[in-house]
Amino acid sequence: MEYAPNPSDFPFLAKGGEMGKLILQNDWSKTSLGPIESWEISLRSTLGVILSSPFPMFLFWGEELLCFYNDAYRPSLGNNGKHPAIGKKGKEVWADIWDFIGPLIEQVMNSAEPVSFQDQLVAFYRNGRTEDIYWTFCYSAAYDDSGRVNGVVVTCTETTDTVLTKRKLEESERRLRSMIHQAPVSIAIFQGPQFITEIANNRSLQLWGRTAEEVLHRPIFEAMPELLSQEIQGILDQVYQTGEIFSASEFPVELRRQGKLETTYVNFSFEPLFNSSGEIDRTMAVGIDVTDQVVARQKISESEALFRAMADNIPNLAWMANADGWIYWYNKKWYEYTGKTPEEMEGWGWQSVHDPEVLDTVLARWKHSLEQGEIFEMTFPIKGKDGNFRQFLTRVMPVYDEKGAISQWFGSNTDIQEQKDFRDELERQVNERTAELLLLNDSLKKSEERFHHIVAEVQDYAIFYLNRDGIVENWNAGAEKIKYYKAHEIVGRSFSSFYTAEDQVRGLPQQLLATAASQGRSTQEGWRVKKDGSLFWASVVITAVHNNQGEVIGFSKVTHDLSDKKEAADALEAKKTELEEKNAELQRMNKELQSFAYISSHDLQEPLRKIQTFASRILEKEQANLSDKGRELFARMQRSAEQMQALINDLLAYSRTNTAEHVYQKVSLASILERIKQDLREELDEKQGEIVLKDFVEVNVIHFQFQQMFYNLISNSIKFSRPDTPLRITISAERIPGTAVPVKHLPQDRHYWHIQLSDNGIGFEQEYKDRIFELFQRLHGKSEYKGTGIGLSIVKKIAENHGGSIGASGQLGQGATFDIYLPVERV
Amino acid sequence: MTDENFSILLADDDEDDRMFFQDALDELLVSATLHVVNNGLELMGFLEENMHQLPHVIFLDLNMPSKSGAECLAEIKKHEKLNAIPIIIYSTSANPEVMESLYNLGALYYVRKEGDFSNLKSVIGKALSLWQQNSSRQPHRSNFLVLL
Repeated sequence: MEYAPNPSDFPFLAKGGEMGKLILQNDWSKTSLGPIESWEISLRSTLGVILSSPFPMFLFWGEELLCFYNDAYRPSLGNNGKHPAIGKKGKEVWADIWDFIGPLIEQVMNSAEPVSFQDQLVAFYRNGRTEDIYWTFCYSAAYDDSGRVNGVVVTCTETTDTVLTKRKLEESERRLRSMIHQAPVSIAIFQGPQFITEIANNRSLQLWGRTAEEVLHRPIFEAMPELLSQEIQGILDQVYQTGEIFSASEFPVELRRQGKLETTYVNFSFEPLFNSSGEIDRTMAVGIDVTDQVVARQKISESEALFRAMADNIPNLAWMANADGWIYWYNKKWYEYTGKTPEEMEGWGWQSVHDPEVLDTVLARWKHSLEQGEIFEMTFPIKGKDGNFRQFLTRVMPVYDEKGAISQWFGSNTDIQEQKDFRDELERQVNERTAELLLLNDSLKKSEERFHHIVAEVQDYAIFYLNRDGIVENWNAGAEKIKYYKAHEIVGRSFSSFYTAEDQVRGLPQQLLATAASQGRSTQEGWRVKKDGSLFWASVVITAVHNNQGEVIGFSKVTHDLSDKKEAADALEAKKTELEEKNAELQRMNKELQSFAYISSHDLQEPLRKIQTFASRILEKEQANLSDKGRELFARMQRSAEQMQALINDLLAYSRTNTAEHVYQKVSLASILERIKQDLREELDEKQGEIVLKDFVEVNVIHFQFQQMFYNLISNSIKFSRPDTPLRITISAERIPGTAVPVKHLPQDRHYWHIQLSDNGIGFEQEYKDRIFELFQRLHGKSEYKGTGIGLSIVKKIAENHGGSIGASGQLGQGATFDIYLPVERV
Repeated sequence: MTDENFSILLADDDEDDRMFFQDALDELLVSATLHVVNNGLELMGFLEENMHQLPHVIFLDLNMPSKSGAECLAEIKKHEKLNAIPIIIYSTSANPEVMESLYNLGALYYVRKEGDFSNLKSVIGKALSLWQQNSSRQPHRSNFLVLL
């Protein structure tokens, strides 16, 4: 080293430590600064301040921004990096961060305003690697002797450790908050005496039934006014004021959730939180919603109470024992029945109510169940308070805990004394009945044998059994007699051989079996073939025979020979046909007769009329030539002719009622009577006659016949009127049901007109009431009352033609009454 | 009976009845021309032949061989040139149903052959005067049968 300045010459470097020595040793003559001796006062004093400072300081000086720094700054450059940088150009030393500090230095140099940074991350190379280093630093201007800014003093502290520590703190706080939020319990922190909610985790919000927006940063009692009136407010105040922790279990709180006030049970604690000054500034609430558990327990205890109530009220005796069989509880019924006290019964005390003879067995089996964990079931007697034993069916069931181990036993004793008595009685009855049945069975067997015997011996009926396929399985005497086969000839053969070839071809035997199988039975009458080929008329009943499962297993067949009956029926049928033919012939003859009556009457009246005409001509023209006797005889002849004419007219009318066509029409009774009044005006006038119609009705009748009927009836009344009394005829009509008609042969299922005609004439004796309607019947001599004896027969005939009837009643001298019944609707 | 110019046609198969009818007209002093036919066929033949000089009125018996009075009536009433001739039924029978059907066919009156000659005479006379008074107009059915 050629150049070696003396440290004593440079007091500003004297206290400069290692860096002072390095400055002194550096050959500054080769730099733009020149030798130390030539340095400006300002530089010297600045360096004096820097080098003696215990804080890390750095100086960029001059055009080239030559680097100076003190011992405190040295560690920031690391062990193995930029050091020693004294006297080197700033841009070269800090090449790795020049982009960042270059502009800063320039800014300070130009403006002379200091620039400072806090916890600034600056990555630079030291200790053999690039490290992220945090700095808090200040760049401030350094002036030269002329007062111009000629450098930048960097005062700095490396805050890497502080920053990292702070970071860790923040992370830890973040974790805490996250932990609070994710905690499986409700955690909330309230600030100050107003309890402003600072933190409330999701659990808390769930518990409260509120959203974060509703509670955060608001006083909790404002956000949840339902708490105001509750104990919890006082507790929270007390914790805040006294700093004492409060904790409670299953504490009931009323909370409004979804608009509904609900009772919630919580395990919770309130803890005070202290600030750095040791004062309480916040309160923390930690809680767990245990409502479900509380409610469940309440339910269990309710259900337990229910169980006890039930167990006390069942008709059985019941009890519960520990796993080892020590009975700790009996129901009320037990005490009622035994008359013992709980103290006497507790544990194994129950033995005192057992029958000593059975007790050993009971104990042995009970212990066996306890050891093996098996259900206990046994019937034994238990002594009641009256000292009598009754039979009980005892069942004991193990009750398991969650692990599947027996925790206790539940026992019940059911009084089966009555059942036992009943069963004993039943057994006795069954035995009795069995004995009876055996007897009955025996007699049934005998009866069956008898039945078989009878069937076998029946002569008039073929009775035999067919299997499912129609094969004959047995044969009785009747079968042999009717069909000629002997049992050994036919058993095992198909029954279809009893049928004619035609019936076999059309499958009749199979049809009959099928019908019997499906409907239970089939019947048929028809020709059957005997062994010798001859036919007989048979009535056959085939009945299906079922087994217990309802399946057809065969058929019974009963055949009756109806040949005789058939002959009789055929003969009857023939007779019937013959009768019908005869009847038809009769009807034909009758019709012929009627038409003969009509034609003959008609033809008879022609010559008769002419006889009358000739007679009248002779009487008129030859009056003078006849003697008195002759004239009288002529008059008699004329009367006979008139009588004959009347007879013929009536006969014609009578026969016409049969031959004429029946045209029904509606006519009013009034119009009919009006017409008759006209026709019979003279006769009525002569008798001072009066016809009174009471009911004006319309009837559906054969017009001419109906008119004829009334004409004849009224003529009849006129004819048989009393000479001394004016004639009065009353006619009424009424619609009546068939049931009210007093005529036996008329059907009752329809309605009738009841037309009644009464007169005040001479009447007749009741015994003639039927005879007056008979043809040619007269009650009086011809000289007294003219007439042919046909008029009322015609009336009767007409009533009958209408499907009706007429009857007469009367008393001699009291008038006559005719009752006509005609169906309302045409028959 | 002053009108000399009217002619009556009687259709009746019975000779006696024809005689009675003639006698009645004579005694009634009806001076009409009477033509007589013996049955329905003759009646229709007569009318066909005398189309230019038809009778003023026909008395028609019902029971006639070969063609009955009722058949003749129906035929005449259907015939456009004959249907105006008034027809008086002249019969022994008085079956109301038959009368009804004849009225419906268009017969003018119904005269029953009375047994007593004086009655017969008066009923024929009454029929003729009814016909003349009412100039062939069919009466109400209740007056169809000419009564004594």
